[in-house]
Amino acid sequence: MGTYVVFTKLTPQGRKNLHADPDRLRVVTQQAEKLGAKVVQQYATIGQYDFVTVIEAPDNAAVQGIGAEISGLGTVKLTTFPAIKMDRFEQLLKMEPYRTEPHHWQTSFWARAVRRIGRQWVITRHVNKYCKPLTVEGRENLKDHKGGAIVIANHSSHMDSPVVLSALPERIRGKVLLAAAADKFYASRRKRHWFYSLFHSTFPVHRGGGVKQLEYPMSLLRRGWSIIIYPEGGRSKTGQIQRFKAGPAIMAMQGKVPVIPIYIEGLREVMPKGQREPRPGPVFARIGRPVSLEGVTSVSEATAMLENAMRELAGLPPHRASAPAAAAAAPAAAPAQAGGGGA
Amino acid sequence: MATYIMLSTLTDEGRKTLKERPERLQEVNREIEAMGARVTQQYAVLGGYDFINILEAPDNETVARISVELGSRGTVVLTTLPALPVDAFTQMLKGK
Repeated sequence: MGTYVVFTKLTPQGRKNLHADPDRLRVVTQQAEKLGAKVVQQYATIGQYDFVTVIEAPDNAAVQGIGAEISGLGTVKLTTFPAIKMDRFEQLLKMEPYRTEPHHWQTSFWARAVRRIGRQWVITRHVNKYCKPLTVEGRENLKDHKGGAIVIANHSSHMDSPVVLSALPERIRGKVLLAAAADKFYASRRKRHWFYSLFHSTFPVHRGGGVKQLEYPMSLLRRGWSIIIYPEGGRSKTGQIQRFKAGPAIMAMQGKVPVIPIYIEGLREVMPKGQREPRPGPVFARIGRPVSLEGVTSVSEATAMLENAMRELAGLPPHRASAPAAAAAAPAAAPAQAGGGGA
Repeated sequence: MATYIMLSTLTDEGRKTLKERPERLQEVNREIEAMGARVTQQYAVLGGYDFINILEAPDNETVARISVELGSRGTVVLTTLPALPVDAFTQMLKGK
C-alpha cells in the first residue's frame, strides 16, 4: 500500500452539487473506497484547493484509475502527489548507495573451487570456535532430495549463515547461494563485495522486494542451484519467529523447487543482534523434510505452509488459517512484495 | 485547536541541509512545537511540493508566526491552507 495526498478543486458544477446536497462528499469518499483506496484523512481547506485528502492505495496505477473515475464526473479537478511517510523518508535519506548487481562469476567452476578451499578458513573455523558443539539433526530428511531448492532458516544472528552452510550436505552446499541485504553487505563504502560473493556465497538483495529481485535467484534455480533465504527478512531481535515474507514461497512456486526448512537454536545466546563478539555455546540446527508447494495456487497459502513447517521444527503450534501477514500478500499484490531476503 | 495544511517546497539551500543533516527534519518539528503548534502528520511527496504537513495550531496568528520563522531561514517556501475536517465541513453546509 502506498500513501497519496490528493488536492481537490471543485468545478462550478461541483460547487452547485455540494450546495444542493452536502452529503455528496461522503458518496465520493465511498466511491473511492469501493475502487480500492482507503481515505485516511480529509479536510476542507481555504486557499488554492477546496479539499485535501490523504488516501492509501495499492499503487500508482490504482490511484490513476480512481482519479480518472472520479474526475470523470466533471465535478472536481484533482492533483495527486505520491507521498512517503516521514519516518520512512528519513531512513531513505540516511541510506547509503549500494551494489545490487550480483557477481555473475560466483557460480563459475573456479569460484566454486576457491570457495571450497576457503571454507575452512572463512566459515568452518568460526563455527568450530563458537558453536560448542554444533549438533545437526534431520540430515536424513534430505536423503531423497535432488537438484535445487529454497533453503529457509529462522534468523536471529549473523552466525546463522555459517551454521546453515555447515549443516547442509556437500551436494547442496557446493551449489548454494545466500540472499544478503544489499544495503548492509553491499554498501558502496564497503570495499570487499567480491569477498562476500566469493567466500560467503552471498548475492545482494534489495530489501522491500520487487519483481526484478527475483531475476537472479530464478536463474540460479533454473541452473540447479539452491538459495538460502531468511523469510522473516531481517534478524529477529526477540529470538521469536516473525511473520514470513512472500518472496521465498513465490520463488519456490515459480521455480518448481521444494523448500527445505532449517530451524536454528542457541545462536541467540552465542551472538544476538547488536553483539559483535560471540560467546561460545551449544547450537542446534534441525533440518526438516523438504516442503513441496506443487499444486498450491495462492502465495499466501504457500507462505503459511512454510511458516507452519518452521514452527513445527521449533516445536511451536501452527498459526491458525492464513493469518493477516500472509493474507496481505494475496496474489494480486504478490509481485510488489516479493523478495523478503536479507541476512 | 484548528487544523492547517502546510505545503513546503525546499530551496537549494534547504536541499543541501537535508542531504547533509537528515535529522534536521525532526528538529524543525520540535521548533514548531515550541511555538505552540503541533505536527500531526507529515509526508514527503513527489510533485510540485516536497513535503505536506498537517498542523494543529490555536489560531492563524500562531501559524503566521511559524511561517515567518521557518521561512526566514531561506531553506523552505511555505504555503499554508487553513483546514476543517470534512465531517465538520459537511455539518456546516447543512447549517447545523
